[in-house]
Amino acid sequence: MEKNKGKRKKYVAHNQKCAYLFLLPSMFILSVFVFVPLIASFVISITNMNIFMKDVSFAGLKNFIQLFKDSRVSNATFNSLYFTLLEVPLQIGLALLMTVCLAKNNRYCKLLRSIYYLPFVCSMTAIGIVWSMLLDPNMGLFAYWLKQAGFDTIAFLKDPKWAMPTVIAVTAWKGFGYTLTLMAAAVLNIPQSLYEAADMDGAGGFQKFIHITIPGIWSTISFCIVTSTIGAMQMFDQAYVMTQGGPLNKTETVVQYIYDRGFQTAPYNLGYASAISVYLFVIVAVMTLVLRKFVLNRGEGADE
Amino acid sequence: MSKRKIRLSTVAGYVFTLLAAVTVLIPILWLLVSSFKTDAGVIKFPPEFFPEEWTLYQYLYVGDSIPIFKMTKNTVVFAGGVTVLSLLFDSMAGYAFARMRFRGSKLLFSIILLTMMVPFQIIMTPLYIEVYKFHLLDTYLGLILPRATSAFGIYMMSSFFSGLPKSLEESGRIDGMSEFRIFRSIMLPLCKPALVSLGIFHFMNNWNDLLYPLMLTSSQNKRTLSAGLAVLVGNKVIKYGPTLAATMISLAPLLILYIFCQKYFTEGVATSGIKE
Amino acid sequence: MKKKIVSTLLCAAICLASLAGCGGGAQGGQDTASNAPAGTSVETADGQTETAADQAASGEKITLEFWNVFTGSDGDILRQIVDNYNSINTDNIEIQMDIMPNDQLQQKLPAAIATGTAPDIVLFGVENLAPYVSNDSLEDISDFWEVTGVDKSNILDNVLELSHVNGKLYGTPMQYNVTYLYWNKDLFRDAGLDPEKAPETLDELAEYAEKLTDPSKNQFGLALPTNVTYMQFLWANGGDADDPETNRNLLDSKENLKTLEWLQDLTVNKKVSPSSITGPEADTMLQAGQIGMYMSGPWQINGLRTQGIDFGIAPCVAGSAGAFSPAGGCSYVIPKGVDEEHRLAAYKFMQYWLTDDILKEWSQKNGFPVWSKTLMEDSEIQNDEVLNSISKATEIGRPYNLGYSLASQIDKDVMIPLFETVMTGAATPEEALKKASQAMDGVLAQ
Repeated sequence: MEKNKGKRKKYVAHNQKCAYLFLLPSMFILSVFVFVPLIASFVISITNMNIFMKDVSFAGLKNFIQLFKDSRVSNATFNSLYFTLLEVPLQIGLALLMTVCLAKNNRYCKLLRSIYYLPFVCSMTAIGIVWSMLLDPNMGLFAYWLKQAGFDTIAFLKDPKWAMPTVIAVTAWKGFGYTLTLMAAAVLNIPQSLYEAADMDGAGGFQKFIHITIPGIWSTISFCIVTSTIGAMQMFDQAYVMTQGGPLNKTETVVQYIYDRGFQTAPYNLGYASAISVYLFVIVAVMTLVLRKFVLNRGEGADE
Repeated sequence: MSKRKIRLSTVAGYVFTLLAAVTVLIPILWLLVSSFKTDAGVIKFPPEFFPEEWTLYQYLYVGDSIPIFKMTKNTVVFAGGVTVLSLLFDSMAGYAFARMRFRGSKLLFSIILLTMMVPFQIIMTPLYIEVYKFHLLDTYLGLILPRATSAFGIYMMSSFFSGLPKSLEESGRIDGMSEFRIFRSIMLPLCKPALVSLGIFHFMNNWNDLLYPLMLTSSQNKRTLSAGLAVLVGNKVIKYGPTLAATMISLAPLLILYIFCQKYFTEGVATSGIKE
Repeated sequence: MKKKIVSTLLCAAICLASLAGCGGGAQGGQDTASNAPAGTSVETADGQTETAADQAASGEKITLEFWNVFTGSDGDILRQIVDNYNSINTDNIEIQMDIMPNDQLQQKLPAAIATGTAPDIVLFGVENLAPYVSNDSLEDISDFWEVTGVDKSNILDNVLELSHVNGKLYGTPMQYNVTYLYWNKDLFRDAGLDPEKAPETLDELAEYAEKLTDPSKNQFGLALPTNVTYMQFLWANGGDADDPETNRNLLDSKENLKTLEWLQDLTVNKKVSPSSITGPEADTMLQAGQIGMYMSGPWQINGLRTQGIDFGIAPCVAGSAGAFSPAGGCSYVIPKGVDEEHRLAAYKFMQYWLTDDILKEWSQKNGFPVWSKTLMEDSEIQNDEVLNSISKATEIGRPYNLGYSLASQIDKDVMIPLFETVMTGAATPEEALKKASQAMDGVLAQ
């Protein structure tokens, strides 16, 4: 590592220009189509403004004060965290477990990996419709089968206690195949020689997994953790299609509440909706920073 | 002793993976066969897995209601354009972050990550106004451009590039290649599996996206397939039969493409193993 | 090989980008009229400028963009009517219809109005009128009767009233609806009830619902979705939610408490309804013959007919104060900023809709009540069995927070949560009412 550093310094000056050139298209598009709207919504959050964009006035911190008093904001924050803290470990854990079984390039493993990927191809809308039809406690096929089999069925999406776990399960069901594909690709890229060396040292399967596989795919794992956490904190589609936030607001997430305030319920208070999204933005940013610090440090530690 | 243990765990692995495969397949199979049910068949109680009477009625109904072919064409142009452009831009940016040192790299990378944290719903209205000001509303360019790069893609490519051995570009530099040639001739071919997987990801996301294309197009003729099919999901009354058929229609091209790409994809992974 | 892939990729990217640009431009040129946003001077995607008036003068087509939320089967019938209008009208008007789900329309339309890219006609629920008008986003069309010569006295007053805000006309009626009580005659027979007699009072409703419920058959007496409001029950006992005139909170009353206790008994103790069901799910169960009785709008009729359910339609049941049913409807409106030319063309289409032939077609095909006085005399209409049974049910229609800009917030933040809490048994009616009353105070304070 130290040796490389010295060598690389020579390229820095030359690299600098090149690097900016490489970044130019992406930075341009992101600035125009993401940063500008983002800054716009930050500005909107300190105004009184609805989606008709007429009669705009300065609101100061009014919207932010209001959101800390709003019990639906705290409820939605709880729901988003609940979803994230269960869904991300479930999806990544499941994918890791599968990786152990399926990170080989024989026919069986390839076929199963393709099958698992299948739900990921489908839109969340489609998945949501299918699962809510299958799990409907009165008319659904799965609920009916369970009843026929003599199980005391739960109402899944209709039960305030079970709605969120059901949404989590469906999300993990949809996404684990993708995570698995990424991880399997990473595992297959680990040089075989490492495993052979470990074999000679007499390491068992579990030890090899902990000491070779995990460090070898750590950058992929940390990528998966960070991106799925960010994604999960913004959960919207699933609940929008399957539960509309209900029953009793038990699946209403922050983004859903933002959508409801800004676009679904008159007086379509865009200022307030933007304030909540700034609040969400801060939460996610802090979570990501902590995660990156924690996850990346461990990764680098494992590298040495 | 250890042989026995391995065998047991292998069997457990097979059972576990097969069970999971069944769980994955049943709902999708149900969707497929149910799209051939009659209206009465879809809502029948007690429910049945296979239709009593197979019918193409739901597909014909969907075909009558919306211009499927035009919408499919729009979707291909939109999702395809976004995929090609963002693969290029994402991998360029990802490469810069992973393999080049420059001032502000950490800061820039954090800023890019921040853009992933913005719920799309909230930037939608400002974006609409922006696209309108550029006179790009209701055009393909206006649909493609805002999506032509993504923080997710940049992050993914950069984490892939940083996993590659460091000696690779050194040899290119020793040969006197330019940075762009190194990127093009050495690095890009190596990341074929990552590119394919990111490409599929982008293509599918944009193919399936509903709100974004619906907002930025203002006539049915410019609408994408999934946004167009959303019209069939009733407002006051949901027609489940056509909804299922519509879902299958929007899914079918992706499934075909996926089966096609999957082969390419696993092969790509196998051949790109680092030979050192 | 590897190089080839990369260069292909690059080429494709460049080609696609330029193609997309060209494609967009060319298309923009062709569809100039359809792109034409509000305002006399129109800038299209490729920067071409022309005026709507020029188009008309040169005898060109006037294209009207028409957005609506008719996504279900009634959308098919609307599409037929519009297609037919396009082919027969002599004013060279072409209507381009764009259907989208209500949520998306609500997200898109205000931004479109603000940027001057709004359509020429919008068709949506009358509950939207007040918030749009209070944001100055709809055209005042009070001159409609004078310009078109349509006789407004031929339209029932309560229907016409739905399109007014603060005494001004902002839309023309498209359809009118109240909530009916549907019942499944076969299930009535099986339960030993008279299949031709619907319940008339709250007590009868509860009694019938209990008799019709049979968990072993997965059959429920009365479907009560938890994502809607039940003003008909509150009103039946003399209660109410709020007074839009005086901004007063009327929730916390003995009458309402009595109604809610009755409702909770029905759902939590007697379990006559599937729990936590949504409207569309209840529709499905009704069509599958699993539901004895259900309260909903006219849009159920088509589905029930196609599923061959033997059903009846009755007015909402009465309580101690009488029988009432919440009224609603849809109106054609013109977004703010539409120019004179397009506005007059839009008037023509609205006028066409208000002819008895079209209203008759709509009512007969969809089962929506008739509100044109001359059409009510029509013999075919008078002999239509379904339309006959709903005309009685329509008489008890009562507007609810009409023209009140807080209406949708009261519904979503106060009333729906109140009913959901009571019907799922999450709180006692007293607690739920108290909480809802506080929430109502919060909303009304705005």
